[in-house]
Amino acid sequence: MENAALLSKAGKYLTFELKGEIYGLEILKVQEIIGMMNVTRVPKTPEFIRGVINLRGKVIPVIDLRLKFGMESKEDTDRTCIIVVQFKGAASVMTMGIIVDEVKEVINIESDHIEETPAFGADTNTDFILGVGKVAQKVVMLLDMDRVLSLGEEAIVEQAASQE
Amino acid sequence: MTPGNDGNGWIQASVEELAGLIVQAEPSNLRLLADMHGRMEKIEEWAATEGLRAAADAIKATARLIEGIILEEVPDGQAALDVAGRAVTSLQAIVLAGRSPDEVTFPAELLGANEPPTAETPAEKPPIKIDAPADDATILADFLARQDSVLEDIEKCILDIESPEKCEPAAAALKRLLHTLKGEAGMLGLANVEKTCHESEDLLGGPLPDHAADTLLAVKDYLAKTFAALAGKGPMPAPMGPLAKPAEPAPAPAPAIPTNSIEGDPALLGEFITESREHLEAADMHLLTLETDPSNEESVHSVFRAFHTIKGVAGLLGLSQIGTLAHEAESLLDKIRKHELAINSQVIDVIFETTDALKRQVNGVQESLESGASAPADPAVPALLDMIRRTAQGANEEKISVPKNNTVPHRRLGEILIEQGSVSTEDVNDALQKQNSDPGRPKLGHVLVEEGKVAPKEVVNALRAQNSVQVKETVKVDADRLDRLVEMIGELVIAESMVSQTSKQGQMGAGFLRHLNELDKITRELQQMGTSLRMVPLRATFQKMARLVRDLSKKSGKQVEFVMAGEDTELDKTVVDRIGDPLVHMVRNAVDHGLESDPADRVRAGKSECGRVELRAFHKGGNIYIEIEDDGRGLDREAILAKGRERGLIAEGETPSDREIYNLIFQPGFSTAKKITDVSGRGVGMDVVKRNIDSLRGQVEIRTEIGKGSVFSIRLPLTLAIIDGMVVRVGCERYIIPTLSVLISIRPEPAMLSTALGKGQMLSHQGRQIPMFRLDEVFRVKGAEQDPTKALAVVVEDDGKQVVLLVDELLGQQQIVIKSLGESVGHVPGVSGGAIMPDGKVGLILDVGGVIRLAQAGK
Repeated sequence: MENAALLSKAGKYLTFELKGEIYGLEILKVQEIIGMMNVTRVPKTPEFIRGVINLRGKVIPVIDLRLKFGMESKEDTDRTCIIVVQFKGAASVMTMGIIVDEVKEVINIESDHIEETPAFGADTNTDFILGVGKVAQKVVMLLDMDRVLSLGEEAIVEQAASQE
Repeated sequence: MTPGNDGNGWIQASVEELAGLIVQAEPSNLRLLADMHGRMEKIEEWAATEGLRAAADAIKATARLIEGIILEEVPDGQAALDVAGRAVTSLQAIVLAGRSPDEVTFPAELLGANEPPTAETPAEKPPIKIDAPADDATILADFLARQDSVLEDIEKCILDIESPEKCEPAAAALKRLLHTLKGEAGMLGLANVEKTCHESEDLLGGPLPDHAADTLLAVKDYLAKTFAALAGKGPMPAPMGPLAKPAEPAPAPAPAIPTNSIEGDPALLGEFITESREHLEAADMHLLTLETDPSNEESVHSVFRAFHTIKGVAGLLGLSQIGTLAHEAESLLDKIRKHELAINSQVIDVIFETTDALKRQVNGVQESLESGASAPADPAVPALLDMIRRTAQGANEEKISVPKNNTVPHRRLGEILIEQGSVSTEDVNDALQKQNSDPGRPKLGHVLVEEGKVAPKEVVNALRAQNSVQVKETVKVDADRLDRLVEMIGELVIAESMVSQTSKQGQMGAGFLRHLNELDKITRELQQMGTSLRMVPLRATFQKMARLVRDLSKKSGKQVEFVMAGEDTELDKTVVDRIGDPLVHMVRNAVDHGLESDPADRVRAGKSECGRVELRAFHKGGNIYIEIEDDGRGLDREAILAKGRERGLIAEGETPSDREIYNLIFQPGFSTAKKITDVSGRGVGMDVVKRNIDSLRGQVEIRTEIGKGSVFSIRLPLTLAIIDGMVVRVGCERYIIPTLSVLISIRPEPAMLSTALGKGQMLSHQGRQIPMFRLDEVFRVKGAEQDPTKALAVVVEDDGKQVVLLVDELLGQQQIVIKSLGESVGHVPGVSGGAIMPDGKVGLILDVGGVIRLAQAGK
């Protein structure tokens, strides 16, 4: 049963770097990768929402994945990228940009190279990690983007509530 | 018998109260409904003892209907209330106006719930089955899509009938509309609609009875419901009963009408019904081809084959009436096939009549197959048979009055022919004279053809041109596609301004700049066109209000003159769709509460007995204004103020402006009727009005004078997609303030500034102290100018509340296409959306109301 669950996670992942760690993102969720561009800050939103950008006439929100994961922020470099992903929102498919330090490559991960997410203890929420992949001696955290981004929504709600 | 005059004071009062109640009734207001029900039972008893059987039955049925609404057995409560309302109106006519019960009709919908009130009511046909028109679903859908506007036109005509000077042309126009509808309904096999239209036409044919408009409105409602039901919205209404029409003996049926017996095998009959419909459909199509191309032999053969097949099967199944008709038509076509008879429009008309008659027959067979009753003989058949025979004999000279004509086209045939150069003006005038002197009133084209002035082909061409006028009017486009197009145009405008901005920075040749100018002009035009695509006139919405006022005035017994102006004013479709509800509330208020209920009060105030409600729309300063004006009693400023104080909405000692006071009526739950004025208070649903208009980014303003009346003025943006915005800079951020909210922007001088209680800053402007907020503080933006005298003060207004927002500088003013920030960001307080700026970045549009709330909460 466990194998079946892991099997469904096998496939192609886009890997990117965040503070020296490698993360993987299901390739099917990725719409495109664009270079860093001017982001308009939206007031009264949580820190991790960097703002909104104009993606060929569409206004889409962009989040800073470093801040989202509780890491310290970092000056944008010429390697900083925005990965445009599509994910299932409450009602429809939404488009959102995520800012990462650097985009690596697209890799194929077999199911026997994927392991269950190890438990890090009660205070670390690992719900948004699909599993851990091992590729060429390196560990790749496979992200469940739907979870990551919908967690954001909750965070927004919480933050808004605390501001009231 | 005049039941109203023999000491039945209580019944008059009772009916009047009932009429009053039903105006206010809502399907959810159970107590009111129960009250009405109780009254109805008493009225029914009274009617029964007075011997008013029809009225008693109708009231009984109405009471049952109300019961149904209470028990939620009725699927559409509002529609049922409508029917009940009309029943009460009829009752009022008997009891209050003293009309004889025989000349008053009760809504036909009630009859289905009860026994027919009078014996001479012919048995009604069962409701048509929807599967009949399903054969040609697209034609039906197309037909239904058009009916909204047709029904609007019909309603307008009916309302016009009531005004003496417009009566005649309106009746004629109405007749045309109903006639067209009848034809189309017949084509689609909607037998009941066809029948109702036909009867309405008959009604319009003679001198109009007093209640013609009521009857016709009932017809219109019935049609609306039927079309809604066919479109899958709501239940199919029971067919209309016979309309009250001038007593006219039914034409004695000719002795030898063959009838259709349905003793054949049901399975075979069913197959026959489906097949015949297909054949008749095909025949119709070929006839249309023949109309334009009479030499098309293939089409002649096809039509011939259709009739031949129908004849054969009908004979086999013993459907002799169908058989006879098909046979005669077949012989006619046989002659055409053998070139013994030339095809002209008359022949085509006759064959069309035949296919129509056959369709009716086939429908009749289906109905009798389902109900088991024998199919009624079609009284039109003998005349039609005769006509076919005469046509077949080449009796073209005899003017055959085909039942369907009188259709006055939009453009005169003669005019088109003259335009085409086919005939001279004198020829047309001659022919017109001839046409008028001829009692048979032949068609102009026929006269001209007979005179040898013009070739039939040219007439047909002219006829086509005549029809094509209508066809060219609209092209239906999927709303989504339209939106996409408008969106794309928005992108183009942005892209264009980006290019032109970049070009200004670099060195460009004169040629390039010229081309760029050209491009700029085109994009601007395109943008205007794009916006206009979504624009629709307010006419339909206003029309509904006219009907509402009429109904309200009937029910409340108030005389109301309703005036509309500017109904051609165009607005974005979304706005038009959403403005309907608020208008209903406001018009209802104007009639119910605005106008005095006692005409004597009006006369005492020096006004005419008849109340006046005006609804108008106009453009002013880039906005659309819709105003509802009544000359009633006006709002009572003091009473509202007192109420506001009582409810703590206005602090003691505060002296609010008139505007602030009148705006109180928009507060939810503010109007507890009697306390504002004697009878009832304005403000039922005013809170809804306000919210709806807010969502359209509009504003409401009230101007009123006690005793003279009030004006509710709604200001709306032209479109929801584009706004005019002022671009301002705060620190390193840019924001867009909708120009609609900006009153003025000034650079404050030290003398204008003051502090209240050591914290809140105020700006004095035109003698008023306006609270001042720093946008950078509200939005927590860094690096903004802190010295107010070096900054820019923008005075903004929302809901009559004014505040000053301090920004660094004004960057410009421009039209902005509004974009949502996306679901994932959700609702951001103080920001209503985003816009793509000419440099490609996103600018945020401020929601002024939200900013004010944020700023005040931050204090």
